[in-house]
Amino acid sequence: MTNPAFLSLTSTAGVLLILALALLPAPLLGRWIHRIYEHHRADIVEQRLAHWLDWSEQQNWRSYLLYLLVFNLLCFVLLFTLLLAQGHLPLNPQHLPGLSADLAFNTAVSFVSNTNWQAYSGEDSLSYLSQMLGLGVQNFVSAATGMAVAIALFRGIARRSSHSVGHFGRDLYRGVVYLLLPLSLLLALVLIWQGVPQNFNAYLSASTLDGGQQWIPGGPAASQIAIKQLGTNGGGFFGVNSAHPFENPTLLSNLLQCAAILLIPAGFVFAFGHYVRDRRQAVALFITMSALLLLGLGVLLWSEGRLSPLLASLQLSDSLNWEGKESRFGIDLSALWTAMTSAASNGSVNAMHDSLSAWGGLVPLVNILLGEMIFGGVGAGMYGMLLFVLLAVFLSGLMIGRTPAYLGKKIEAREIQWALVALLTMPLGILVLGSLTALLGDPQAVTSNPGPHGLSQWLYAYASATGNNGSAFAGFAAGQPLQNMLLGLAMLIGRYGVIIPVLAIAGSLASKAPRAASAAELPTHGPLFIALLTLSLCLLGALNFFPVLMMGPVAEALSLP
Amino acid sequence: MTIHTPCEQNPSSEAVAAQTTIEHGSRWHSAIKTAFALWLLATVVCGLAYPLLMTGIGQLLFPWQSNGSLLFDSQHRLRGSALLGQQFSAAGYFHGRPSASDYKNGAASNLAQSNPALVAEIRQRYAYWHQQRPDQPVPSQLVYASASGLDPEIDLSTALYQAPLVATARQVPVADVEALVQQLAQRTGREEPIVNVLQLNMALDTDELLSVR
Repeated sequence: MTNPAFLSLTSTAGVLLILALALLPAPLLGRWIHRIYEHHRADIVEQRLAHWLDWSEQQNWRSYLLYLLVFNLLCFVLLFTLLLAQGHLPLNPQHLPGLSADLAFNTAVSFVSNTNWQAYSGEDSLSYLSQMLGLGVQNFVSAATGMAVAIALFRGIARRSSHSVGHFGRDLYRGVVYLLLPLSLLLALVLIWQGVPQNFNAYLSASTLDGGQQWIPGGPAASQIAIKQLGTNGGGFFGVNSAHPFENPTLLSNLLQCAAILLIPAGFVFAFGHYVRDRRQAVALFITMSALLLLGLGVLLWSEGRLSPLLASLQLSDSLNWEGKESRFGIDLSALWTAMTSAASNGSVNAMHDSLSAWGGLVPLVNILLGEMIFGGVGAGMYGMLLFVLLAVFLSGLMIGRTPAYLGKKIEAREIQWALVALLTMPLGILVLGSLTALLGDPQAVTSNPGPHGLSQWLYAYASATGNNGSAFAGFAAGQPLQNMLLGLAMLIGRYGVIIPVLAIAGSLASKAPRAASAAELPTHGPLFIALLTLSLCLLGALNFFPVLMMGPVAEALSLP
Repeated sequence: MTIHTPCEQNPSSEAVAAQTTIEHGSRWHSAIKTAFALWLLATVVCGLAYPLLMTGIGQLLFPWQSNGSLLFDSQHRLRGSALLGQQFSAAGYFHGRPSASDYKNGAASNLAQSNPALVAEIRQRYAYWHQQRPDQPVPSQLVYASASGLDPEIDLSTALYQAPLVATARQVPVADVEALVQQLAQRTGREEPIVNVLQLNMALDTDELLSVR
């Protein structure tokens, strides 16, 4: 038997090391992000593109949005076509057929919207060409799209009496070339070294020691896994995602992949500080996000270390909940990944959320329902958080009876209306679409667990789709045509129902002239504001879902003896 | 009074409005052109050049890892991958984690802690091991299924628990089996050293003294 003191010491060290790797580079990375979008001179490729495509003018928010939507629509159409046609295309050594129309729709929406929900299993359904040219490309550009929207909003807040929020083409190009691609190259190299396959071989058949056969899959996995972690995409090369020993073979690969989830989202918080030339604003948001992240992590560490009451009579070597967790990661690093992937709208997993204990399963669910802004997706987390900041400022303004202002910009009806539209996407996608499918389909047929947990699986699926997270209580039978269509719709609502209001707010704020701060205003960087912001998050974000949470995970937890 | 800050780069609102009206038609046109150009560039750079470059570097620097960490026996037969666990049910082999797919592909049980089906599965596995070694608590890793269904490793203590059973089946001294387990245990930085079950069983079969069955 091992010494329990030693046990907790090394696990804690692993958790702290990953948190440090993810969060400590944030100030430096934030400066880099600000620099590449604002101060970098256009390189030769960008100059040529700008010349051919007439990118000379900066865009107002409507043009920015138009360029973004046209680009995303084109990506969707081409990806959809590729997935349908993969059976007739090269780089398909397993001769996998094209996807069905509903699955292709779901998958194309999923990757264009940076959700990366997997209604398919990569190694059984997708050719190497579909993975590389289809999903791999979207991993880069959907992440860069989210980053561009955040940058446009930062500019909107920072600029004075301006009609422009930047140029979508330039922002997308720079995000990919100066941020995502270099980091992916480095991470992919380490992952290959650690054992993640990177080849174009056909699957091999091995004669197992026990006299059976085992298929050994291949493919250009490392390059894709690197960007899926960095771009908060989360769609695994293999079906079981980063729990698969090929996708995440060692403790080092786990450490880097896990840290990569939060790296860029945390950097964006500090990038905002550079835009508004007030580091304290970034620090306040950073503290709020970190506190919520650590709260969830604490609950998970506690819940996964407890023996299920239903197994109390068994004499087991330890009381840890090992179901759906890998030996090489252990409990603590699985809990950490779960907290981070749900906070950051990444959605990759190294342990199975469906088999978390009842209280443990509540954590990723709540993280997603809060609206994916505990660091959140690349770019998406910050623009989501800033919506809540505007609401918190508005509420505090009402309380003290002054016209609310954020960083000198008056917050008026127009901004609040748009912010509410964005916030309503979560209940719309989850509660309305979720209950609609329950009426249209047979709920028992898609849930794999009885009782309240079945409802939790349902709730998790629609929350994950609308929040553009992509993780799942994976026993949920997501591959059915009806679910494919409606979950695809939920992803679209969750993505563009937020992006459009955010760009509208960016345009509106950019056009305003700042006014001098008055002493009667609540400073937006102090502890009082952090408390107010957290309260607004919990009230507006979670209260919508309180009843359904009670009927799902809470009822499950309380029903155990 | 409002403080007006002029910005040289940006024309006045009237000018923007006029310009937008004139360019309304061509705005769609250039948006589509830009979308195609960006998609093409991303496809060539991120979809082709990047994975191909990584494949080239991987095959050059880490050929074994890049191709799936394959394990061959002395007759050059492919026996598996060092990273993928295998199903072991024969006596005389160490067992890995229970797998929802019997190690055929990546799969998890996805059963909830409250699900009676999970409790039944765990109790059944527990009964099997408890019958084998009634004197010891059963290692958790042998009753709970892994996340991937392909987990290649178990903790050192979970392997040592099985050592007497393997030794009896092979009719060899327990100490020799335990020595082999200790020799193959890898420190990972996690709480406990872990042992790769496939490599351990392959080592058992190739060891001159232990391979007698």
